[in-house]
Amino acid sequence: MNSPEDRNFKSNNSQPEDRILWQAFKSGNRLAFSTLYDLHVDSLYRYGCSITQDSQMVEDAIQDLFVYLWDNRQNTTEVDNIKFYLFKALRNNLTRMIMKNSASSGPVIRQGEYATKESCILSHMEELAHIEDTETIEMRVRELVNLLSGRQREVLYLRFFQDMNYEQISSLLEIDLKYTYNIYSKAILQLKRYLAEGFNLFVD
Amino acid sequence: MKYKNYKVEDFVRDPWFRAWVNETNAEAISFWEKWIMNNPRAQDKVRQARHIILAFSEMETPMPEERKAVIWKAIEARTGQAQKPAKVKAPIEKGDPWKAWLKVALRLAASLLIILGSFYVFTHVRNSVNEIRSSENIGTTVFNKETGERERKKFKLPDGSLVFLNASSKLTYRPGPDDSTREVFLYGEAYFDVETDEARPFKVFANGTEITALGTEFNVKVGQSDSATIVSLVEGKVEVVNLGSGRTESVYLSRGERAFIDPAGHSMKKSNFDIEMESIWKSGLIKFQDTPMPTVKAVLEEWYGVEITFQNKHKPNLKVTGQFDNESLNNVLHSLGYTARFDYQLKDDEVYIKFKP
Repeated sequence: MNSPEDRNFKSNNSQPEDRILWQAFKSGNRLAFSTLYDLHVDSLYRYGCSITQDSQMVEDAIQDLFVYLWDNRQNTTEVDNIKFYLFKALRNNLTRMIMKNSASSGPVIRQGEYATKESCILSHMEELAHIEDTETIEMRVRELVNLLSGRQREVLYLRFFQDMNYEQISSLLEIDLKYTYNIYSKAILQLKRYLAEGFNLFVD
Repeated sequence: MKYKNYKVEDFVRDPWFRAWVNETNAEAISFWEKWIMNNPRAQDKVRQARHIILAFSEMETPMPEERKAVIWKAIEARTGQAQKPAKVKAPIEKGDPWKAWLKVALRLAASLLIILGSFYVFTHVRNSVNEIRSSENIGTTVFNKETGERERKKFKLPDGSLVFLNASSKLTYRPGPDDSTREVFLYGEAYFDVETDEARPFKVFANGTEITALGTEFNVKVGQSDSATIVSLVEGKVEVVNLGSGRTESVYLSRGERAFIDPAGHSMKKSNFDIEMESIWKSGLIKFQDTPMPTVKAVLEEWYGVEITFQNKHKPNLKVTGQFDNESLNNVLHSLGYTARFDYQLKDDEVYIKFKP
């Protein structure tokens, strides 16, 4: 058995299986279609939530995305990386919805006003309590989240949690590769500086 | 050691590290606690990475299961396919795209089988009323085994597969029609180390769920009216079909993933699990070595089929060591309570633990 640190802990990126699944889906296989949904709905939802905190909108966008996929399955080309393809499609859907919303009802809350779920943060707080002072940590984690711009958050999220490389991120966001890298390194620097500052206050 | 050269962002990006921060894996927790102790110079980086992960934790919150089901229903309705569930048990024929796909899947599985050798099925039914098909008049190759209340058995099936049958369980094995498959019907709990045979898929039927091995190792736990059916994949690929719901529902699992089928058989959902813990019961031995309390709790719940509640908080770094060979829960709790300093109460399937100050 492999040592735990060598274990491939993440298992949602196997390419040959992706291709088989996609071919089956294209040929109209419902099982493959529902499998696609089951495999990707979680990460799509999370990714959607990194773009907008309107979870209803994310759900709608996911629904539209899968309906569109099914209706157009015969027209889609081969896809090497299903997740990337789905992320891109979801992003397009969401962007369209956000634009439509902002046209009808003023600007959409997006940048900087990231609404953290109290319960979620708090449960982590509890667990951290024995290491550091609870109140301070709670405050700092919240600050940390708000420190980033919407775009920074999206780039970091894709890089950290979706294991994407800069090329993929730049093509997903439709921005220059160099610019993508800049956003990333600037965000990292910001985070580190902030955290390092904080830690000087908490020397054991 | 690669972790020594890790930068903050490398830690953040490492799923194994995140499993510790998010406490999703007991093994990861003990691994990282040990690692951090041994690498004091990395502590600052670890802390920073931990904070970043926690700050992003909202995005790691999965979509609620019921929302997933609702959205899927809407998608089905809008794609006009609700009336045409996929056929799962039909024999393979030429021409049908699904069947062609199954063939490809089986071929893929075969290559996995060569690499990985054997696969395991672990099946568990609590208070099952699952009907075992009668073994009379099926033929001579039908194989039956049964265990008593405090008994475990280890034996081989006619096809060479190895089985550990847990207490109060019953198993029937037989070849499928025309010897095209191998079929197991289960009542109780069992762990299978299945002999690979790509020409004859290995299927487990229990409580409205059909599990087909597309390769290698997996666990199955079958529940009843009050407990979920759980299929947990240890290695390779497995297809789980929920025959209980209106439409025939199917999911594919990858290593470390499990599927839950709710007691009424209405929906299936997927999550991750700890491989080490899942297969622990078959050894007949419970072994704790510097094991953190949350893991102890999970292992005992798994082993004795009880629910354990901590009535107050324990010291965050409380760890226990001990070994129990087929001991009663009372004995285990008694001796753990002595070293870990707690009192306990055992009521039916529930255990209440109160830590001493």
